[in-house]
Amino acid sequence: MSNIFNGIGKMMNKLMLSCDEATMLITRSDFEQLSSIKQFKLKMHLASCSMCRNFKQQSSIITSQVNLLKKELDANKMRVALSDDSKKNLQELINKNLQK
Amino acid sequence: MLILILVTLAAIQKHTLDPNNWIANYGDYLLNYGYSRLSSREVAEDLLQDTFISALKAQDNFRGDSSEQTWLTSILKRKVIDYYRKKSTQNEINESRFNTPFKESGFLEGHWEKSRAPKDWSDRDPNSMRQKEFQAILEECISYLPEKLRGVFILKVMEEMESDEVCKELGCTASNFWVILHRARLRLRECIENNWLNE
Repeated sequence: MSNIFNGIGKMMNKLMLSCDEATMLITRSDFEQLSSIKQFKLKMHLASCSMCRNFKQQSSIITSQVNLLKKELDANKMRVALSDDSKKNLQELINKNLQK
Repeated sequence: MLILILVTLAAIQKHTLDPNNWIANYGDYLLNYGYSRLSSREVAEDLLQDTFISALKAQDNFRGDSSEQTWLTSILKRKVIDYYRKKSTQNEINESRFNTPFKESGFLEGHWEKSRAPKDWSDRDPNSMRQKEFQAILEECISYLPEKLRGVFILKVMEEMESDEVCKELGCTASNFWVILHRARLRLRECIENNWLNE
């Protein structure tokens, strides 16, 4: 009986993506075009799996927030600053290397 | 005559280097650039020093086509890549130590362990609320990533480099690359969820 279950399981696995595979494809699809078969399999999986839908939503939130972090830097919003000591040390380093 | 004037004007408009003002003009910018990519103030300060030393040595290569800041940033970016390259060859992390959030056997192999499955964030979407807090958590969770995973994540997601370029720099294969990025994102989202929803 368990053999039959395993057999069915293996067949299902060929047709259906596991969540592990589905989330990997979500990651790939954020950066490159998936083949139409993979796209189809992913759509099928997402239609029936709310957890992977959550993963997809979270991934796009994370990517957009990372981009915001980057933009803040370009807008000169600083999160850390050099201490006076660090500035002094760096200036000495520059002077030393300039004289050479 | 007109051509001569144009050539002279172009030459005047070229950027020049002024090392004595580097710290005042770009010190904090470069520190923040490094900090956001390295998750560590100490490492960022070390690489900032290296950047200035390399820049002073390479002054003759500066052709003035880009701004001083762009040029210095490109040297620092190179240092960041080299840092992660060294880290990913130095201590090869034991892949099996990664605690996967998926069932490892049985009929539902590869499906989420219920307790670790992604929850719905729509009630607390940081795009519309408490963004500062979310970003602080995001930065902290990035810093917790093992360096091999962090390198791939930073170069791909933050530096927006091509996948094969990242692999060339960090020494991974194409399929390995997606596995590493996949694991980085799994860990990241779980870390954020534990800190963001339970706050």
